[in-house]
Amino acid sequence: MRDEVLNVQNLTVRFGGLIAVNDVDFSIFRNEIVSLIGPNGAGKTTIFNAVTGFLKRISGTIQFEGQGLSNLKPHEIAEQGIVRTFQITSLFPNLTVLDNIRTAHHGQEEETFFDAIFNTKKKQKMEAETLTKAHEILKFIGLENKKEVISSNLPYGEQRLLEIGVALAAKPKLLLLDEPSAGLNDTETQMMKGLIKRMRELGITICLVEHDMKLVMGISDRILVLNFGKKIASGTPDEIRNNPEVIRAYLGERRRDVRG
Amino acid sequence: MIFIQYVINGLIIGGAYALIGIGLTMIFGIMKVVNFAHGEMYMLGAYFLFTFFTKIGVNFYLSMLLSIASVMVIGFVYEKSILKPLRRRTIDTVMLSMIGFSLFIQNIAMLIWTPVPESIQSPFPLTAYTLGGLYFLPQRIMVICVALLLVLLTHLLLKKTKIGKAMRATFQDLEAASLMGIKIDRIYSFTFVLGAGLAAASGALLGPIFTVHPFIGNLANLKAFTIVIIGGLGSFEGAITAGFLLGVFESLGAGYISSGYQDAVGFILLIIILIYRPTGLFGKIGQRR
Amino acid sequence: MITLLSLLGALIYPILIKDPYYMHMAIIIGIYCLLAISLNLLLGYTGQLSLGHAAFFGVGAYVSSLLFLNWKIPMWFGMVGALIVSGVLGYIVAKLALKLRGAYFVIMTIGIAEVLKLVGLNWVDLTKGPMGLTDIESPVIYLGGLDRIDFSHKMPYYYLILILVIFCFYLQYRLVHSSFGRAFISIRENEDLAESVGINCYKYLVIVVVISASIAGVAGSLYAHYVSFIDPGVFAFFISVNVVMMVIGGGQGTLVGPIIGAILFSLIPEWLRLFGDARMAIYAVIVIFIVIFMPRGILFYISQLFSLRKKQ
Repeated sequence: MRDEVLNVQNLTVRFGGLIAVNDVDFSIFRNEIVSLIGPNGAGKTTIFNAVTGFLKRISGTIQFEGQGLSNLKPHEIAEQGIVRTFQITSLFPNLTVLDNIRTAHHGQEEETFFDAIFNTKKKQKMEAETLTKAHEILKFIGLENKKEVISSNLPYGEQRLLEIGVALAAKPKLLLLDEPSAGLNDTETQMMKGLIKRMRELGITICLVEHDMKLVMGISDRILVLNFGKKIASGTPDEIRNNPEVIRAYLGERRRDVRG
Repeated sequence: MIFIQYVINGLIIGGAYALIGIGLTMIFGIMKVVNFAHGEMYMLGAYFLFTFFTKIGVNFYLSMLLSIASVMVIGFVYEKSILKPLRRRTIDTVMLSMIGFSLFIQNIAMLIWTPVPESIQSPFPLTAYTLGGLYFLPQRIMVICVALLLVLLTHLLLKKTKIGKAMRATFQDLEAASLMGIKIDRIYSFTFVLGAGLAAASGALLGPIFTVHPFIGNLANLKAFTIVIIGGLGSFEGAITAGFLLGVFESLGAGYISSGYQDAVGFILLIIILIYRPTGLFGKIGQRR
Repeated sequence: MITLLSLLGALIYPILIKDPYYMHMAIIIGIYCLLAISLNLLLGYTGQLSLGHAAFFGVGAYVSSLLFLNWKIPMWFGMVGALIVSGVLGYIVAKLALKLRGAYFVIMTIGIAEVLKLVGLNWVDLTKGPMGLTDIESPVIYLGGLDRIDFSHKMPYYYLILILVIFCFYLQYRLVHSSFGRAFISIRENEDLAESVGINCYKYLVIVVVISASIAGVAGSLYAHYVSFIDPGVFAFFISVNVVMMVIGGGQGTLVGPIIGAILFSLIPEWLRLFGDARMAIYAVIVIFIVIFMPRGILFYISQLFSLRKKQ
C-alpha cells in the first residue's frame, strides 16, 4: 500500500454565497509530484489556503500523515511539515537573502529566553547550525553568491528561487508550490523544473498549482484537474492529456492556458 | 422613571455621536483611510459655531450651517493637499502624519481662540418641557431633531442619488468602480467633505452642551473610532446603532456609577465587542484567520 | 569605535558637567532612552505602532510611588513592582488589542492610555486624583560608617540610570541577534510568510509587548522617584507621541536609533520653549516633517549624505 501523506475528503469552501471549492476529495502519496491544474478561479489556491490553515470556514476532513488538521493555525500546520509558497512573490523584503533563509529556519530552532539573553553555549551552537543549514540551502538553490543582497533588490527570477529556499528552511515533508513558474522565462522555468526534481530526490513530497502545461506534463507523476471548484479528472499526464472533460474545461475558458 | 430619563438623554447625545460615527465609517469604508483628524473637524465645528453665533451674533441656525460649511471647506483643502499625496505611503506614515496634523490644527486653534474653555449659550429657553415626569430641554430636542434629520439626509443621499450610488460602488469594489468610469478622486473628495461636515455638525450640536476648548477633538476622535469599530467598519447602520448605544450607555454609566468615568464607557464596550464579536455589530465576518 | 567613545563620554559626563540643569537633562534623556528602547522592540522590530506607551510608563510610576508612599517600600523593589504590574498590563493589552492590527491596534493603545488617565483622575482614594502623589523619595544606600550613596542627588541617580540603559541596550542587542529577534522581525516583514514557515506570530507579539511594557514600567518608576511628584499627566498622549518620534526619528529597528532619538526628542521640546505658545504647533510640524520625509530616521539620511559626499 502506498504511503499516503495527505488525505482530503469532502473539502468545501464558501466565500459568502460563492462556493469556491465544492466537495473535493484527493490524496497525495509520499515522494510523488502532483500538479493541481484548472482554469483561473477553479479553486486551486483556495485548496492550498484551506490545507495550510489560512481559511476559517471550511468543511470536510484533511489528514496529514494520519493526523487531522482541522482548526490548526498556519504555523502549527507548518510545524507538522506542510509548507506552502505564495502566488504573489512573498519574501522578507528588507532582509538579506541569507537572513530570509535563516529566519525561516526558526521552526527548527529551540531557544529559550534565557538562552537568548545570556548567549549560552546551546544558543551559539544553534546559531552555527542555522547558518550552516542556510548555506546548504543557498547552494541548493544557487544563490550562494548573492547571500548579502537585500531580497527585494533581487531580480524577479531569483526572488522566486529564494522563496523556494525559504520554504525549504522550514523542513517541509510536503511542499505546496503555488505557481512556481509564474513570470519566469523558459530558461528560468527549466531551472525551476530541475529544482523541483532535486527536491523530490531529497524525499520531499511536492504538490504544485500551475498553469504552464509544458512544465506540468514534464514533471508530474499525477495531475488533478479542477473546474469551478470541483475535481473533474485525476490521473497520469497521458490520461489527462486525452481526457475530454479536461479539454472541454480549458477550451471553454481561455485557449492560451493550454500550452501542452 | 429616572432610568428612562437617562436613556432619553443618552439617545439625544447618541444622535450626535451617530453623526460623527457615520462620517468616519464612510471615510474608512470608501477611502480606506484612518482619519485621525476627524476629531479636529468636530472641534472646529464647535469653535466656528462659537465664533459665528456667540462672538458675531449671527442667527443660531445660520451659524450652524456656516460652521458646517466652513469645516467642509477646510476638509476639502485637507483632503486635496494632504491626504491625496499621502495615498501611496504606508499606513504607519499616513497615521502618524495625520496625528501630526491633528496636533497642528489643535494648537493653531489654541493660538486663535486661546486655550480658555468657552461655552456657547443656548439660544433656546432654559426651562424644560415636561411630559409624564420626564424632562426635555429645548436645546436637546433640537439636537436630536437635527441629528436625525442629517442621518436621514445622508441615508437618502447614499441610496437615491447618483453620487451616493457611486460612493457605494467604490465602497464595494474600488477597481470595478473606476473601470466603470467613476471618478475616484471626486468620490474621495466628496466623501471626505461629507464626513467632515457631519463631524462638524456633531461638534456644533454638542458644543452648547459641553464646553468648547481646543482639545475636545481628542476625546471625540476616540469615541468616533470606538463607534466605528463597535458598529463594524464601513457600516452605516452600524455607526448609527453604535452611536446611540454609546450615548445611552454613557448616560446610564454617568447616572448610576459615576460621571468621572463616563468617557471610559465606550472603551469598555469596545473591549466587550473585541472579545465576542471583533468584526463589529454589523461587520462582515471575514474568512481570513 | 564610536560606541566606545560615547560610552566613555557618558561615563565621565557628570564629572565634567556640574551644572544641575544639564545633569537634569541627562537623567531625563536616560529615562527616555529606556522608553525608546522598549518601544523600539515593539515598533521597530515587530512593526506594531503603539501610541499608548505612556500607559505602561504611567502605571510603573504610580505602582512604584504607591508602594513607597503606602508601605515604605524602597525604590529598588518599587522598580520590580513596576516591572511586574506593567508587564501584566502589557499581557492583558496584548491579549485584547492584538485581535486588531494596524490602525485599530493604534486606536486601542491610545484608548488604554486615556482610560488609565481617567482612572488616575477619578480614583481619588488611591491616586489623589489631579492633585497627584508627592514626596516620593529616592533611596539611600548605607556603606558603613558615615559613608552612603544618596540617590536624591543627581550624580548617583545618573549613574544608576546609565547602568540600566546599558543593560537594556545589551538586552535589546541580545534579543535582536537571536531566534526571538528573527521571529520579531519576520512579523514586521511578512506575517503570512512567517506563519507559513512555522513562526507563531501571535505568541511572539505577546512576548514583545510584555517585555516592552515591563521596561517602560521601570522607566516610570525611575521617573517618579526622581521628580518625586507624579500626577495623571504621566499618561499624557504627548508622552506616547514623543516616544514614537524618538523611535522613528532616531531610526526604528536599529540598535542605536532609540538612543539618538531619545537625545533628540528630549531636547527638542526643551528648545521649543523659546517659542512660547506656538511651541506645540512647531513640534507638530517637526513630527509631520520627519514622518513624511525621514521615516527611516535621521541617522539614515545623514549617512546617506556622507556616502554621497564620499562618492564625489
